[in-house]
Amino acid sequence: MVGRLSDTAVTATYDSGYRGLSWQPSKPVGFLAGIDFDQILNMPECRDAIQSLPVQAVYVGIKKRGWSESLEIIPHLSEDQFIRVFDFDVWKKDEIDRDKAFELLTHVAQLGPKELYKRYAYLDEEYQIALLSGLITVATEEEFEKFSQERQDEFSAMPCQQVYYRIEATDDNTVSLIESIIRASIEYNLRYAYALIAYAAHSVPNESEGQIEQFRRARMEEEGFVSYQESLTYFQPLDLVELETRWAVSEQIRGASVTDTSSSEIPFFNLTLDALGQANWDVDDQYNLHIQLLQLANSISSACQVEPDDATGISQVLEQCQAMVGLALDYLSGHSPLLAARILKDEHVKTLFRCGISLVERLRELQVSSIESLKLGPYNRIREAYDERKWGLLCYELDRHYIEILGLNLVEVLKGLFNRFPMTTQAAEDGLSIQFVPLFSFEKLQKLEVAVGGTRALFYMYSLIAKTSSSDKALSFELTLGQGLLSALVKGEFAFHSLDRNQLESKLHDQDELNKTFEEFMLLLGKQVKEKQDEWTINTQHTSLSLAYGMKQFRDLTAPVMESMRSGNIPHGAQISEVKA
Amino acid sequence: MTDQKPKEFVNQEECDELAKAMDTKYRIAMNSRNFSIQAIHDGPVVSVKVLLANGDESFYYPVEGRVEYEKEELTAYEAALFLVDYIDNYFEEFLLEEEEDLFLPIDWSAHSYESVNFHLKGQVHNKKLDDLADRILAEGAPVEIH
Repeated sequence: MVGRLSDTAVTATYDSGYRGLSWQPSKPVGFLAGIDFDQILNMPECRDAIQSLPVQAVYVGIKKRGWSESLEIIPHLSEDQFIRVFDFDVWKKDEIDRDKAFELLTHVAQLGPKELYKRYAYLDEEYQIALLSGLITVATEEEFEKFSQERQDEFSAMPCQQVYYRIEATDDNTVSLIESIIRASIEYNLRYAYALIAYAAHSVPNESEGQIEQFRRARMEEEGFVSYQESLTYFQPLDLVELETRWAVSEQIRGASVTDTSSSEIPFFNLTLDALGQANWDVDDQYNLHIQLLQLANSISSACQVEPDDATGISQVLEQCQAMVGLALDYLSGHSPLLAARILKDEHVKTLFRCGISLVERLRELQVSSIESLKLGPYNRIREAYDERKWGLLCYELDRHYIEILGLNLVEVLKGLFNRFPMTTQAAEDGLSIQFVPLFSFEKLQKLEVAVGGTRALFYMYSLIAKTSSSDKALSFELTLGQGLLSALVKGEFAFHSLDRNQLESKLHDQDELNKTFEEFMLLLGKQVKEKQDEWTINTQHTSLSLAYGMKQFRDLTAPVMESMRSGNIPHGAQISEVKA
Repeated sequence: MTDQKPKEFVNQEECDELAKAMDTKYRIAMNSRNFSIQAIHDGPVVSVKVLLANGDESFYYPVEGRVEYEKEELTAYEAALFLVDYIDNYFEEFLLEEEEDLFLPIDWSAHSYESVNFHLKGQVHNKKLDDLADRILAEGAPVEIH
């Protein structure tokens, strides 16, 4: 299988958390939406204004406009801003992408030799050397004179006519740029020019890149871009008791079903933002909040495999972060935006993010335990992936092995539950496909709880049938449910028993009686499952809704059985015991 | 230990698996579209077609690649996978980096990647409208001149 589409690549897509499931991200907002540089450039104090902006916002703004449309902005950037823009733009994973660096510098070169010299010379020394390392050969006068005429023609002389250099790049544009850098350096700082070509020519390969990689990493950490391992810690659940105690909303209010659904499609985080004014947040407080949130998204981006220069990816991660923070605020405040605004002021967004993740944790554990206890599919792999918090692998296994077992709808619910950013499902606008929705409110979490509770109810129904089977082999989920239904319709027993052909065929003749028996059985099954709710329910407040969900899944999964029966046929896969003549 | 016979060519099942992997990989940008892949081995040439289309084919974007695999010192199997890989790379830019105006030439254009020379082409159609127009023309609907 091709590398880019290998199982590993697909698993990595799922593991990112924001790319593998179909949801509708909003357009970027705030710092990631881009800056109106046209307005800023028209201000008399535009340099001060640009230099006061967060560098990530500046970088995203420039990228949105394009470098060629942003030339007038570059001279206004501070030295620090320019270096940090470099940090964002010219790296791929943890290596310098020289092509990108030269592309950026080629744009700078259009501003003239002074700007080019200034920007290049004020980069970290390690950047300056790393970019030119291996691309310049230097020769003394003595060495030069020993060259053939042809070779001499390839070299350029420094002003002293005693040192010569050759640019080793093969691409004309790169040669032209490096020549421009050297010429600009000669014009504005001769001593520096000599040092530059000498260091570039004699540097140890990769040494400067290794050094600049450390400096760059330190600066990116200031922007919130932490290591992969540290990024993963943001997804670890925390003990909610301390938070719940600190924000002592009564248990009843906190855990109550959300009855006000008028704002249910508005993320609770947005409702909280609307309440900030009432909660005495000033402009500085709000600014700091947005910086904190952006840094949170930056910190999580490593776990989600988003590169710092991927503004769209970071924006989508930010939206998921805001959903989790909003979920935590909704829960802790008992659905009070005003109280949530107070909580947001006092609690760090990382804590709130982890609180949101923690609220889903119990659902995840219960669901994995269900799959494990029923020995459904490769349950060991599911348990292993869950314990190791390998969300991508877990979703991949669900996709690969459980659609045939549980059907697409249930698998999508489970994928949403186990996604790095947990999401709930809803029918797409076309009514044909399934969309995922971030858990941006407690109401959305409750919806997921209902679905998960419903699948546990369905698993309970399966277990009722499976335990009556005498086979040692794992039973097919759909066939088992189907056989249980057939057994109930024919013999009045919800069990995995082989059926007498004649008895089964006799049920096919009277359709009215068949439908009546079916509906009576469904009522009875629902009642029986509800009586045993302790064995499957997650939240007693949602038992009825979960049961309804589970019963619907049962109807859908056994629909082929009923369709066959209504067509007057014995369902495919039915276990029949042939009576010997 | 058994020697594994080298694969001769990708079969349709493998193509379907690859298409499914692309559907997963670009799920967030699919907008009710899906991928399908066909690979053809015709003498010295291997061709691959990766189609991105929605249900009613109002968006219908086939991207095709072809390579003379023996000249490029590849097996037919390697050539097919190489083309799929490259086209996948193109779709990553097209879909995930939101460059949906990054179209390929509609006629065969030469490309080179990792020292392999090949050709690509692609053209977006609204096949739903195209088919409708064809039907109208076939039925000879009267045209009013004003």
